[in-house]
Formats: sequence, structure tokens, C-alpha cells
Amino acid sequence: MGKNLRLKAARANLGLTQQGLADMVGVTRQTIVAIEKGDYNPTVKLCIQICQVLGKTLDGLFWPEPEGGNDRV
Amino acid sequence: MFKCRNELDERQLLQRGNVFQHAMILFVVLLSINALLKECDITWAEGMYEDMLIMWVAITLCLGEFAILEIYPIGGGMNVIYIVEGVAGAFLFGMCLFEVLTGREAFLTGHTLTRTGAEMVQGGCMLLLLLVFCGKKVYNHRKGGGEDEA
Repeated sequence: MGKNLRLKAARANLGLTQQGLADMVGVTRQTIVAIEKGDYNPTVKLCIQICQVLGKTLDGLFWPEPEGGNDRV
Repeated sequence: MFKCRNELDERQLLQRGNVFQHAMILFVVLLSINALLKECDITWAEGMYEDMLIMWVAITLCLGEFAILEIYPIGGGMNVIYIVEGVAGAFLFGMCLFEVLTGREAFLTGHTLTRTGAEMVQGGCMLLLLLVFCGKKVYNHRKGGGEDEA
């Protein structure tokens, strides 16, 4: 499971810190860190919450990219 | 926005399950070894301390992993538990160590832990938990708690 760079970029675009995003979705900062690093595979429920906060779609943030992409979840 | 921060999130719930699993496995393994030793008429600790120490080792593993992973099932109350338990452990450990060093009590008689020896080990387990808890807090502080990680 590689790093989720799209999530990181979407968060940074909104000027949110990991702690800020974590507070908004009701998880710990370590959980956001683990998702961005690809160490933890979040449930669909959490994915949706993150997408709602960041104004993105599930496909845009969490759908695996075609071959060659390295930012899959 | 979505839930109260005092609750564990989904990743922490998963980790908590794993921690309980580790403690459970260790507990069963130690009980089995103890049963085997009893069957061979080997007593490694006086009286009830065989079972007590097995319990404390499992508890130490469980609470130690909780501290390292920062999973606190009852929220901020866990901090108080670690501190009170650690201070009590330090007191118990120190008292037993003093008795052993002054020669009032022995740590071992033959190959068996005495009551004082067992209490010293128990106190050591309790003290270890406080050290792990404090170590994790210091580590987080040095790392810079609220900053983003790459």
C-alpha cells in the first residue's frame, strides 16, 4: 500500500493541517498520518467523511490510479 | 464535526483489539506453562504469587502497548491510572528492595520467589508502566505533537 499523496495534496490545498483534518472528521492525527502514509486502510465511512470535509469525491482521493501511479491507498 | 474526540477512532479500535489479543495469548501461554510446572511439582513463587505475577505480566503488556500506541480506552482517566499505579509500584518496589538489601527478607529461597521477591517483581511491572507512559509523553513532546508528519 503506497502513500496517498492525493489526500495530502487536497488537505494542503485547503490549508488544513493533519490535526485540523483529524479534528474535523473526528479521528486522531495519527490516523490521518497513517492514511497518508498508506499504513492504514480506512473504512468507507471514514473515507466519505474525509471527502466531505475536503470537497472531493471518493474516486478522486481513494480510487487506485492506473498503472504507473504510486499514490494508491 | 463527526464525533466526540474522547472516543477511540476506528484505527484505535482495531489496535485495541490487537492489544487485547496479545495479552490474551500471553496470559494463556503463561498459564499453560505454570500448569505444566505444577504438574512437575515445581513451585517458582510462594503462595498465590504465581498466579498474581502471571496476571501482572499480562496487564503490563496490555497497558504498556496502550501507552505506546496512545490508546486510552477511558480517555483522560487513564493518565491518572498510569500515574497512581506507577507511584504505588515505585513505593512497593522500593520497599521490597530495601528489605532485600538490608537482609530482612530474601528475594529467592532455593528456586522459589519469596513473597517479598514476588512483590518486588509486581512493583517493577507497575513502575515499568509509568516509565513507558512518561517515555511516550517525552517522545511526543520532543517530536513536536501538533506538527504535520511526512
